[in-house]
Amino acid sequence: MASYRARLERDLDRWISDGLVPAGSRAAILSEAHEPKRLDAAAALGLVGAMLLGAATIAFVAANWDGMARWLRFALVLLAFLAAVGGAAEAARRDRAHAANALLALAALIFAAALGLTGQIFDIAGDPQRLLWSAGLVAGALAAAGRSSAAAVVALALIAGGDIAREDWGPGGGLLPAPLLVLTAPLGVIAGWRWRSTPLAHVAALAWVMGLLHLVLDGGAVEISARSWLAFTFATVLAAAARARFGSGGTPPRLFYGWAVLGALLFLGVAGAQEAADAATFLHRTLWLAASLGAVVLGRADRHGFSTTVGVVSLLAAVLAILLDLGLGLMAAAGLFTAFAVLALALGWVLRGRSRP
Amino acid sequence: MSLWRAGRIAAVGGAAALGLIALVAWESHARENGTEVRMAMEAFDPRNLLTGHYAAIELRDELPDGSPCPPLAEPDRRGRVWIVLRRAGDRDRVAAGFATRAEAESLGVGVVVLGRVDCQSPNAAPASRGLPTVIRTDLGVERFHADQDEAEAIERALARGGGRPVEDGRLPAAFAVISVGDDGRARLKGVIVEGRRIDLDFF
Repeated sequence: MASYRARLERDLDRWISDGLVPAGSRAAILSEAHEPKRLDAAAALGLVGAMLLGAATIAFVAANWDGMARWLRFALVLLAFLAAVGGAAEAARRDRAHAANALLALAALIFAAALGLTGQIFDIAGDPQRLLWSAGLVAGALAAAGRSSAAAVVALALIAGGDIAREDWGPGGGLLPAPLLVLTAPLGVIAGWRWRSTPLAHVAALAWVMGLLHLVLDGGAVEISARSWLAFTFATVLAAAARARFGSGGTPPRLFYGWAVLGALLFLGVAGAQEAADAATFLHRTLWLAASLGAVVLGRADRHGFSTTVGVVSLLAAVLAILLDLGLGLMAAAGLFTAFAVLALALGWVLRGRSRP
Repeated sequence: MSLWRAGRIAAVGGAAALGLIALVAWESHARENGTEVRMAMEAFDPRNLLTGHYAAIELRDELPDGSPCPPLAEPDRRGRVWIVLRRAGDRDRVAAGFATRAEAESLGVGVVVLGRVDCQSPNAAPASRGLPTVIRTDLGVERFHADQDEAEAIERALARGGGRPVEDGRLPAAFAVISVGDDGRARLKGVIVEGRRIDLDFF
C-alpha cells in the first residue's frame, strides 16, 4: 500500500501537469506532508522481546507458584499491581494519555486478579459478588483518578459480573436489593460525556439498560409489568432529553439517544409480556407498534441509523408478539397490520409532499 | 495538572494495596483469635484448577441410628441460619439453627456461626432403620489449598480410614479445624487426619 507521501507526489505531478498547482509550490507542499510514525524493525524486535520476556516471567512464576511461601506469592501479586499503577502514574505525569489509559485498565484487571489470588493464597473464604463489586469499585476509583475510559469500562464489566454472581436468583437474593449497575452505570454515562469518550459512553449506556432490565425482571413486591412501565417512561424521558440536545451537544446526545430508544422499546415489550387476550393487551400492542414506527420515522428524519435499526427490530418483535397473541386469528392480525400500513404509507406520502419544492 | 493526576493515581493505587494488606492482616488476626471448633469432614479429592492445587472439603457428620435432625429455623434469603455448635466427644456438632444471632446466643451454650445446614434423616420405614442421619454444613470453607503432594497424601490417609466419622475409636476420623470469629464467620485453620494436625500458616 503506497504511503501518503508517495501518493501525494503522484497527485502533485498530475495537478502540476494539469495546471491546477504551480510547479514552484511542489517542494513546499511536500515538506508539509508528515508521514505517520512507523514501527521500524528495531522497535518491533524490542516489542517482541519485551512480550516474550513477560510471557517467560509469567510461566516461571506459574511453574514455581506452589513451592513459594505464601508471603512471597502475596508480595508478587502486590508488586504486579503497584508496577501497573506506577507505570500509569508516570505516563500521566508525562502527558502520555493513551499509555496511562491502557496501564490503568491493566492495573484494574490486576487488582481484580489480586483479590482472587489473595483469597486463594490465604484460604480466605469470600463471596464472589462482594469480590467482583470490590474490584469494580477500585477500578472505578482508578478511572476517576486518571480520567481513564478503559479503566471505567473494566469497572462496569466487573460490577456487572458481581450483579450476576449472586448466590440466589430468587427475590432479593443478592447482597443489595438492586443491581449495583443501576447506580454506577449513570456515573459511567456522565464520565463518558465529560471525557468525550465514545467507547465508554456506549458501554455505560448499555450497562445502564442492562442494570434497569435486571431491576425490572428481579423479583420484588412491585409487579414486573408496573416496573416495566416505569422503566419505559424513564427511558422515554431520557431519549427526549437527549434528542433535545442534538444540535448543541455534539456526539454524546446522539449516542445516548440511541440507547435510550433501545431501552424504552425493550421495557415497553417486557411490560406487555403477558398472554391474556384482553383490551389491555390490545392497547399495549398498538402502543408498541406505534412507538416502533415512531422510532423508525424519527431515526430517518434525524439520520440516526442506530435508532432506526432498533425501531425496525422492535417492529418485528411487536408483529411476532401479535401473531403469537392471536394464534389462528389471522383476520384480526391482518386488519391491524392493514390499518398501520395505511397509516405508514399515508404519513410517507405526506412527508414526501412536504419535502418537494 | 499532569502531576496532580499522577498523584491521584498513585494515591488510589497505594490505598488499594494497603487495603489488600489490611484484609490479610485482619483475616490473620480473626483466625488466630477466634474460637476453635472441630467439625467432621468428608473425604476430598485434590484438584488442579486455574486457582492452583487445592483440596475440596465437605463438612459432613452422621448421627447414629437415624437420630432426629437438629431443630432448624427458616433460613434467610441466602439460605443461611445462625448455627449453634456444641462439643460432643471429639468434635463439634450442629445443635440447632436460629433465624437471628440473638436467639442463637440466648441458648447460652456452644459457639454461634453463620452458615447453611442440610439434614437428611431416614424415615421410619423398616428398610431405612439403622441408616444414619446425615448433616451437611456449609460455613463458607470449601477448600484447603495445599500443594499436590500434600493433598494426595491426605487423601490416601482418608481413604485408609474411609473418611467417615467413626464412634468407637477404631480409626481416627478427619476433622476441619475452624476458627469462628466475633463476627460469626468461619475461617479454616487447618485439618486433622489420622491424629495429625496440618495448620494453615500465612508465613
